[in-house]
Amino acid sequence: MSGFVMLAQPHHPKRDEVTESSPQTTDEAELIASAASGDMVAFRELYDRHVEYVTKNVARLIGPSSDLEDVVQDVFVSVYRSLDNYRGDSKFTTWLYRVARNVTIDHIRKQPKHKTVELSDWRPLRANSDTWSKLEARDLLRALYAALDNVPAEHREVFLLHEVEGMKLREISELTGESINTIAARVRRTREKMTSVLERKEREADHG
Amino acid sequence: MDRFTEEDFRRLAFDYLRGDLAPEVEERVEEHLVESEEFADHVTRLQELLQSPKKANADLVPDFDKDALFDRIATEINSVPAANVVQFTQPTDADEEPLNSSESRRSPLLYIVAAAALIAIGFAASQFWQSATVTPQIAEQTPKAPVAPKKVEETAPVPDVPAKPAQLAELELDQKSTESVRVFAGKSANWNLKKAKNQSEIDLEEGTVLVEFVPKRDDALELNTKHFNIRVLGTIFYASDDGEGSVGVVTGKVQVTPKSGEPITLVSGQEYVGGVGVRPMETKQLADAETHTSVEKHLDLLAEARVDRSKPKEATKPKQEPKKVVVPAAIPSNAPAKVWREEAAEAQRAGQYGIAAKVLERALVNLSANDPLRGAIRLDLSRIYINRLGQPAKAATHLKHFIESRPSDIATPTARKQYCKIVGPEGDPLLCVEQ
Repeated sequence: MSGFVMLAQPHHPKRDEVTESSPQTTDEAELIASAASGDMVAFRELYDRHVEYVTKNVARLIGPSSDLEDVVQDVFVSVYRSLDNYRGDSKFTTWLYRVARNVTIDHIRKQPKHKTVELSDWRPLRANSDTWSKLEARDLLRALYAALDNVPAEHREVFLLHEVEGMKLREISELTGESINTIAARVRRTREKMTSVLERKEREADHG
Repeated sequence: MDRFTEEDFRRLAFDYLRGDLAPEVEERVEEHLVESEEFADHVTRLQELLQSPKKANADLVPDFDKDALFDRIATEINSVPAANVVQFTQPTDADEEPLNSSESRRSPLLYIVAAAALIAIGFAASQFWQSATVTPQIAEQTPKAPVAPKKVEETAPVPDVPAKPAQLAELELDQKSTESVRVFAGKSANWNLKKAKNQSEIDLEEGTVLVEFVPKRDDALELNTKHFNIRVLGTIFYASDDGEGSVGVVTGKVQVTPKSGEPITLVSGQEYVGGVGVRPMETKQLADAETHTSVEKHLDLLAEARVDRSKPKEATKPKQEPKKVVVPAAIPSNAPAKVWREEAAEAQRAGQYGIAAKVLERALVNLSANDPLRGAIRLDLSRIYINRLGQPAKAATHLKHFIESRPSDIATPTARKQYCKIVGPEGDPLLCVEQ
């Protein structure tokens, strides 16, 4: 792996949160090389630089969950064990995102489906106009992830990146390594799913 | 312009919220928002749902102790054996402490981190740990036969036959068990269970126990004997007092710390036997353990416990003490060798191998030339440089010093072999000639 310097990019708040944690420099390239050869001090430095980035991306994918720390732990163990595979042909944070994504999607797939969503999570979606305005953001958060629970993890990922983080399809494609066509199809299907869930719950609310 | 159906408007709602619609389409959508209260309600809900991750960020990404998390990451990383094995046996000096000699790595194993842990701790009745040369070995790709430790001066006699495995078939569920800590014990077992808040502790004084641990939330379990401390990392494991004592892992992993030695992490299917080392568990052991508790059922319990932990953690959870970071300068220069080595061992447990190496290098500078532990320190450094820091040249320097200063030490042949492997044909021919 060769060292390289990345030029600073124009500030784009939404994209920065998702795609970058800190600028990559030759210093980081050396850290990566040292960590790959087993230097735990270097690995610790990498961890300190990127743990928030990884945590945010894992959290976005799994939703509010007590498993967050466990999954972040699994991600970094996986990062350590596969650092040798990083060739420098993409940004380190892009590589890191993909490791995190794979580990998290694997975790989501192993969860028993019927246990991840509680009945109370659906309640906000059945609220009428009056009570809806009284809902707190945390209730809506759980409702959002309840609505996304039956959507495949990869679909959930691109939907959230597109609709919540405001990323363009091209940016999501660069980040995930999937084609724009695939990304667009996943966004489309998840939108349809979300719309049908919302409509169903709105009807349930109307009928009491 | 074509008329849009209600379905069209709902489909356009997403792009409307993103601001991605062409001006004329956006205008149509806004007209419809005014016309249709139902559509306006729908768009409002959609908007608020999509904004909720940002607004409820603290619920989505709660704070946690990142230092403690890194400790767990380092522990898990270190539990995987390395590809190259460096084995050292104990130097002959009576004052020197036994080294935790063998480290080997194998390709990562998939293991199920189960919340329940069955610990079988056997503690040796004999003095096998006192001045014994024990070389715990972790098998590489396929488990190897147990290796009898080499005899050294003033060492307790090593058994001639492999240690008998723990007897798990005739255990019974003990009444002292709790909901989260179920203990199956033999008739002669003598143990007690202490519970404080989230920490359970079993003191095993005699006999064999099989423990199933299903933690709620942040529960932790430790098991102590006079020879071992076991920290349950999430596993089903057993412990036995018979013979030299043994600890085995049915599923998951445990960390075993002998009273005088480095911690050893055992994973599924491994057994640590006092006086022998790490070896694969016999099939009968697994079968006997399963008569008391099914691994599958255990994993179901864990999954349920995980769901029970799905509520956000309480804000009053006490912040964990940050792991102490060893600062080499803080150790007084006249500290005895044992202190330097203990500090280095602590740094290694924290994953701070560079710091551990610095501590030991400073020890060599400060200790007298006649200090009997200099040899052990050089071997410690060699191991760290080779296995942890990827600096074989530095390891070779220390190995060469060791070989030259202790030509008849029991560890010298192994040190020589490792030195010659590192330096190759460029090395000192006098050291690398066939002995």
